[in-house]
Amino acid sequence: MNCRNAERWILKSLNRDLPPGEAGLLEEHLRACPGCRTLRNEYAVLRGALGRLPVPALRPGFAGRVGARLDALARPASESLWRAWCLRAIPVSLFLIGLFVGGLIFLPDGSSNLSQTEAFLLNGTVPQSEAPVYFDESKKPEENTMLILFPAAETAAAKKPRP
Amino acid sequence: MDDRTLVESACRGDRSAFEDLVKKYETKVYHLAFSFVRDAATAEDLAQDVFVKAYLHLPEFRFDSEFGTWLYRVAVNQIKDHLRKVGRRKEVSLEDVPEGQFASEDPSRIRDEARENERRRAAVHRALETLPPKYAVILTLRDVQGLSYEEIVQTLKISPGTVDSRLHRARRLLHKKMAPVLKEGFGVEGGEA
Repeated sequence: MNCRNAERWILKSLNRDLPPGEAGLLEEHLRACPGCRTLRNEYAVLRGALGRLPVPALRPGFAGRVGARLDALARPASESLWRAWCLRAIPVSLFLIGLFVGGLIFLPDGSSNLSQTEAFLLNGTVPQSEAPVYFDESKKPEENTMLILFPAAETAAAKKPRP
Repeated sequence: MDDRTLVESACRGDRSAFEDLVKKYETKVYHLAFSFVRDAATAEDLAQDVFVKAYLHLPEFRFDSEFGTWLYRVAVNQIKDHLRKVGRRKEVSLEDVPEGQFASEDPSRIRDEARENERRRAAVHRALETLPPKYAVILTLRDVQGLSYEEIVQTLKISPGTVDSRLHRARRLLHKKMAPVLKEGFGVEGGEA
């Protein structure tokens, strides 16, 4: 056995009992090697010095102090929950407000301010085709005709090229 | 009431049940913390942290192991975090250790030899503090707390082979750290078999 193996077995023997064969070989080496004997003693002294320390008694009321810590922990937890909720609510609210304002600005207005004539012009509609809409059987035929002719005249005037 | 009943009640929000658990395990957790930090106030703070953490993680406890083992594991992890945060001293010397650090209130009544032993012990514990946390933890569990291999395996959730190799490295590292002090004379009898 060399000294390197001896140190490995010395350390092993500190953790658990060596098998009889290994223990015998180690003892044989230690008898012949003063360096390894010193090493074994040093390890043993270090291990012994690591033994239990005298521990000062715990102050009474420890469980109460832990309870107080838990109480203190619970309060900020609800506060931080509320703060976290607010922090999430702010961007969501801003997004919704932006969406609303954007909608007001960019979406086409459903209620047009165009007059009926302007609407005919823009859509290129021939007013006569809309005639049945304007007919009111209860009125005199002349009045119905006027309803058709005036928008038609306006359309014709609009189509004329301007000088 | 047994641990299981207390844990289940505590999970349902029964604080008095958790207080009973604290009372049952406070000394063990405090002693474990003290064996690492060797300061009563810091050990108590650490023990409180352990119970607060345990309370917060109680719903995750699935009764795969004893509550005591689980709590021990929570404590070891908390202590490891603490050791990482506070950092470590690099050098170890007998001069670093104030005389009578572990002596009783009346040092004159203590024999010189006993006082010297206390200084040596304090020096070794200081050297232990300078080890990386995983080595300091395993040596403390084994040699200071006196845990069995099986208990260490359960607490640290590592294999017996890893316990062996980690203990081996930890002892060698501690020996290396203590080498200058050992050379100064540390009560080591060399020579005789």
